[in-house]
Amino acid sequence: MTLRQLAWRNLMRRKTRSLLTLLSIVIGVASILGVIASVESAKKALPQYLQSVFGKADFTVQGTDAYFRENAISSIQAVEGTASVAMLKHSAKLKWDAPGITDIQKRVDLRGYSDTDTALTAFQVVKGKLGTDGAVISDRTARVWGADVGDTIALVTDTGLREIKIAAVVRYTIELMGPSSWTMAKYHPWTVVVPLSAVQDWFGLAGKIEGISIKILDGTDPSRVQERVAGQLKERGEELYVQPVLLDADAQFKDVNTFFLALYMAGFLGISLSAFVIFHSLYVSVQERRGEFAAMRTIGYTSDQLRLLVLYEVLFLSLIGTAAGLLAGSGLAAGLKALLFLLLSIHQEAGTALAAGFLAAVPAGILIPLAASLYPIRKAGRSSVADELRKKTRPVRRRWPLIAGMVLILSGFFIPHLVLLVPLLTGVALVFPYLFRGFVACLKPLYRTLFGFTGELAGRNLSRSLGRTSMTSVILCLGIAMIVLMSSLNAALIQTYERVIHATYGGNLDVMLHHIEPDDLQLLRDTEGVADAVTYPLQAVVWHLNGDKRKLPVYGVGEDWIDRFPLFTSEGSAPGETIRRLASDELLMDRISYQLWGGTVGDRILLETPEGPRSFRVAGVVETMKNSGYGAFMNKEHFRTSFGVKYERNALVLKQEDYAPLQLRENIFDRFGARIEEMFGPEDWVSVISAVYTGSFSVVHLLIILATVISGIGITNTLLMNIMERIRELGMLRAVGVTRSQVVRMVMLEGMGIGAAATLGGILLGTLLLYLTTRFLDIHSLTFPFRVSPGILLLIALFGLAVSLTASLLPAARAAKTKLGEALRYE
Amino acid sequence: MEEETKIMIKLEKAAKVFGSEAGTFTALQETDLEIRKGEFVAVMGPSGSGKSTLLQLLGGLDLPTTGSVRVDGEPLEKLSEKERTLFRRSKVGFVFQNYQLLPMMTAAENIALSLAASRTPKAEMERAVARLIGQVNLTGKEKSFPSQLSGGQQQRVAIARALAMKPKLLLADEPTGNLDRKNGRDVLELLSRLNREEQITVVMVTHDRYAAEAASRVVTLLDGAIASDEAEKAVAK
Ligand SMILES: Nc1ncnc2c1ncn2[C@@H]1O[C@H](COP(=O)(O)OP(=O)(O)OP(=O)(O)O)[C@@H](O)[C@H]1O
Ligand SMILES: [Mg+2]
Repeated sequence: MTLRQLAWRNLMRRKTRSLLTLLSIVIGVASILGVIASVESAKKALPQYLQSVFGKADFTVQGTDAYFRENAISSIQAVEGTASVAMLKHSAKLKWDAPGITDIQKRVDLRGYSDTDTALTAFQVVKGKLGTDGAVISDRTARVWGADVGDTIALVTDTGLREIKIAAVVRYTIELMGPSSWTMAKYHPWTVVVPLSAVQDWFGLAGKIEGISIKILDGTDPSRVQERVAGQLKERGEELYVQPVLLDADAQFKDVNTFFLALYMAGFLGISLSAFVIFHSLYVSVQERRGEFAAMRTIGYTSDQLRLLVLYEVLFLSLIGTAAGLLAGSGLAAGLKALLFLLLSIHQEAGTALAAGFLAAVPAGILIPLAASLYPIRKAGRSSVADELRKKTRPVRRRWPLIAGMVLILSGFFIPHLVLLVPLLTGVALVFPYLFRGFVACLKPLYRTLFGFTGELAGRNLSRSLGRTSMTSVILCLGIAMIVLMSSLNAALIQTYERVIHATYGGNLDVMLHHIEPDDLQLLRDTEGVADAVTYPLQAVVWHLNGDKRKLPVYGVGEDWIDRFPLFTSEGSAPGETIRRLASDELLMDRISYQLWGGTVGDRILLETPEGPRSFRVAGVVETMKNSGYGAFMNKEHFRTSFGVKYERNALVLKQEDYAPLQLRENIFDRFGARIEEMFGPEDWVSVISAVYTGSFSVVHLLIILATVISGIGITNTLLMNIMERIRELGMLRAVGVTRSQVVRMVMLEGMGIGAAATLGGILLGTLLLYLTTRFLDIHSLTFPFRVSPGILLLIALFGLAVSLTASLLPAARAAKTKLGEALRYE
Repeated sequence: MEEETKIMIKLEKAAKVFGSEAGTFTALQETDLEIRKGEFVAVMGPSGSGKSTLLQLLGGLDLPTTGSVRVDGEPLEKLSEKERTLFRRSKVGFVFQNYQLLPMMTAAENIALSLAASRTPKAEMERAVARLIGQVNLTGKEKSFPSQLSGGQQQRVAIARALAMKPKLLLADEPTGNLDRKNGRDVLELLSRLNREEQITVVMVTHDRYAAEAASRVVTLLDGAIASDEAEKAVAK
C-alpha cells in the first residue's frame, strides 16, 4: 500500500475526527473570504454612504440671489456624462384634520424637482411610478400617514388649498428626510417631492429655481465636467457658479482614514482568528496521534515516511476543505455584503469582488494546515519511541512566551497609533496561557460550590488540556476585547460630539426664516419660553483654494452676544473678546477648514465678495460643531461691509430654564408659521451625527462579531476534540451511574469556563486598549475621555457568555448521545 | 416465586445485532441464561466471541436487539435511559480491563465518583471512602493520583469505585488482563472475597483459565452463542 493510500485510509478510518478538522478548514477559509469581502464592500460602500448622507450630487449650481431662471438647466443638460435636476424648495402646511395634531406637526418641506426619475435622485421605488406629475414620499412617511399610491395629499399654501396625488412611495433617503412618527414631527417637517412646476405654480415663482444638482455619470472626468458647466454658465452671463459637493463631505469625514484603519484592524483580527482556528485544530489533531506515530516507527516507518504520510493526510483535508470553504465563503461573502449594504441603506447591484478574498483564502486553507501539522510531526520524529509509547508527557513550561508576551504588551504602551493593536494582541496571546491557568485555579472552587459534582468534573477537565483550551479561550478573548474597544469608541465619539455640539450651538434652537424683518426679533423674544434671542447673518462664501473653488460658510458674529450664544470656543480669551479684537479683514477659522486650508495663522485666504475676490487674514483657530464644524467667523459689522448682506435669516434662541424644548418649538412655530424654513436644535444635530457614526461603526462591529462567532466555533471544535479524546472516560462515567444530563452539564460548564475566561480577559484587555487609544486618538479634531460604560460591558459579557454557551451546545449533545458500548470499546 | 427472587440475571432470547453500512453482524445470537444471586460466573471464549457484548447487555450499557434482559427483576429494555443510569448507579458495579480511572482525580476521589454523582453528603462520602479503601487494601494511597499507582493498585481503586454504591452485581471485563500474575491473583482474591462475604453476584469476562478457576461457574461463548456452561471443579470441592 502506498503512503498516499494509507493516508486516505487513515482519514476514512477516523471519520468524525477528519470531518471536524475538515470543518475547521472550511470555516476558516469561508470566514477569511467573508471578512475580506466585507472590508472590500465597506471600502466601496462607505464613501457612498457618506455621500448619501450629505447629498448624492457631485456638483451644485447656485446663484448669488435666492432664485435664478429655470432655463439654466438646459445648458447644463447639454454637458455630456451628467445627470442634473433643477430644484425649488418651499415650506407648506399639511391639511390634516385629526385631534391632537398641532400645526407644528403638519410642516411640510416641498421639494420641486424638474425630474424625479434620474440617476441623481436614484429613488428606490417601493410602489408606484416615478417621473409622473404626482408626489413622491418615503415609505416611512407613507407608513405614518397610512397613505398609499393614488391617495391625495392636501396642502395649505400661499395661494390656497392644493391637492396632489401620490405617484410613488420610495425607500427612505436623506432627501426625503422626515419624522418617524407624529411625535417626532414636532422636531422635523415632513418632506414631499413634487414636480418643479407645482412649487412654482403654488408659490408664485413661475420660471424660477434655486439650485441645480449635477451628478457625474460613471466614466466621466469630474474636472472636465466642472469646466464645461462653468463655461456654459459664463455664456449665459448670469451670476451663477458651480461647486463640488463632495469636498464638503470630505471635510466632514476627513477622519475616514482612521475609520478605515479600524476596519482593517477588525478584518485583520477576523483573518488571524480564522487562521488560528485552522492552525489550532490541525496542530491538535496531529499532536494527539504522536503515540500512534511512535508505534509506527517501531514497525519500521522512518520519520520521513511519517512526515510524508501526515503531509498527504493534511493535503487531502486541506484541498477538500479549501474547495468547500471557498464555496461556503462565497455565499457568506454575498450575505455579509448584503447585510452591510442594508445596514448602511445603500443600494448597489454590483457583484461581490471575490478575487482578493480568494487570493488570501486559498493559501490560508492549504499552507496553514501544512504548517500546523509539520511542527508536531517533527517533534514526534525526534522524541524517543519509548517515551511516546509510555505516554508520560510531562508538560514543559517554557518561559520565553511569557517574557516575549510581556515585552510586546509593554511596547503597546509606547505606540501612539491604532497599530498598537498588533503587538498588544500578539503579546496577550502569548501571555494568556499563564493567565488562563490562574483563572482555572480560581474557577475550580467556584464551580464546585455552585454546581457540585458536575462543576468539580468540569473544573478538573479544564485544567487537563490546558494548552489547547487556553488557546481556544484567547481567540475569543481577542474578539471580545475588540468589541469592547470599538463599541466604547463609538459611544465615546457620540458623547463627545454631544458635549461639543451643545457647547457651540449658540443656544437651544437655531430658527431659519425666509428672511427676518425688523420686528421679528422682538416678536421672538416675546414668545413664551424664550429667554433671549439674537439674529445673525450667514453666507456660504466662495473660497478660492489652490485654484479650486469651494464654499466656506462665514458667520457674522456680534461681539455683544457671542458670549451668551457661544458658536465656538476659543483658546486664551472668551469668544466675545476674540471677536472684538478682529480687524475688518480678519476672520477666525474652525479646525476643519483650517486643516483643509493647510496654512498657518496670520496667512491670508481668498474669498469671493460682491467687489470680487478679496484676501482675509486668518486671525485664529477656534473649535466648533456648528454646521458640523466647518466654517469661519467674522465680526458682524465687518461681515456686513465685506459681503454686502442686507438681510439676516437665522435667529438663535435661548430657552427659559425648565421650559420644555418641544413646547418652545411649538410656540415659535405658532408665531411664525410657514415663514420658518428650518428649526434645528443641538439635539437634532446629535441624532444626525450619532446615526452617521453608528452606521459607519456598524461595519466594524459586524466584522468583529463575525470574528467572535468564528472563535465560538473554535470552542465547539476544542470541546468536540476533548470529548473524542475522552470518549472512553465518558463511557466509564455513564457506566458507573453518571446521568446523561450530568454529562451535558459537565461539557457545558467546560465550555462556559473557556468562555468566562475569554470574556473576563477580553473585557479587561478591551478596557486597556480603550485607555491606550483614547490617549492619542483624535477624530474630527476631538479627543476622547477614557470612560467605559458598565452597561456596554455587561452587554458584551452576556454576549461572550452566550457565544460560549451556544458553542457548547453541539459538543454537549454529542457527549450525551455517546453510545456506551462503543465508547468503552473505542480504540 | 421463591425461585424468582433468587435469580439475579435472566436472559430470554436476548440477541445483539450490530448494523453498519457493510451489513449486519450478529455479535450475540438468541441466548437464554440465568444467573442466581451470589454466583461467581466467569465468561470465557475466543476474541470476538461476544463476551464484552454480553457483559454490556447485563449492565444495561446496551440493549438487546431482540429478547429481554432482566436484572434483579428489572426488565432493562423497558427502562428509560435515565432509569437505566440510576439502575446502574445503585445496583451494578463495573470493572474494566484498563481500569478507566480519571487521571485528574486522586484514588479517593475516583472511588467516590458514583457517590458524588448521586449527591451523597460529604461526611457520609468520606466514611464510605475510608471503608472502601480499607476493603481493597489501599490505606495510605487515598491522595495518590492514578499515575502514581501500580496497575494492580489502580485496578483495586477501580473495584472500590464499583463497590461504592453497594451494588448487588459486579461486572468485570478482563479485570486481570493488564496485570501480572501476582497482582492478578490479588484482584481475583478480592473479587472472590466480595462474592463470599458480601454476597455480591460477580460476572467476570476473562481469557485466563487460571483466573476462571476463581469462579463457581464458567460460561463459554463461541461465535456469539453459549458453547458450554459448567460448574467449576473448585466449587465442587
Ligand atoms: N459497534 C459495533 N459494530 C459492529 N460490530 C461490533 C460492534 N461492537 C462489537 N462488534 C463485533 O461484535 C463481535 C463481538 O465483540 P465483543 O467485543 O463482544 O468480543 P469479545 O468476545 O469481547 O472479544 P475480546 O476478547 O477481543 O474482547 C466482534 O466481532 C466485534 O467486531
Ligand atoms: Mg471484550
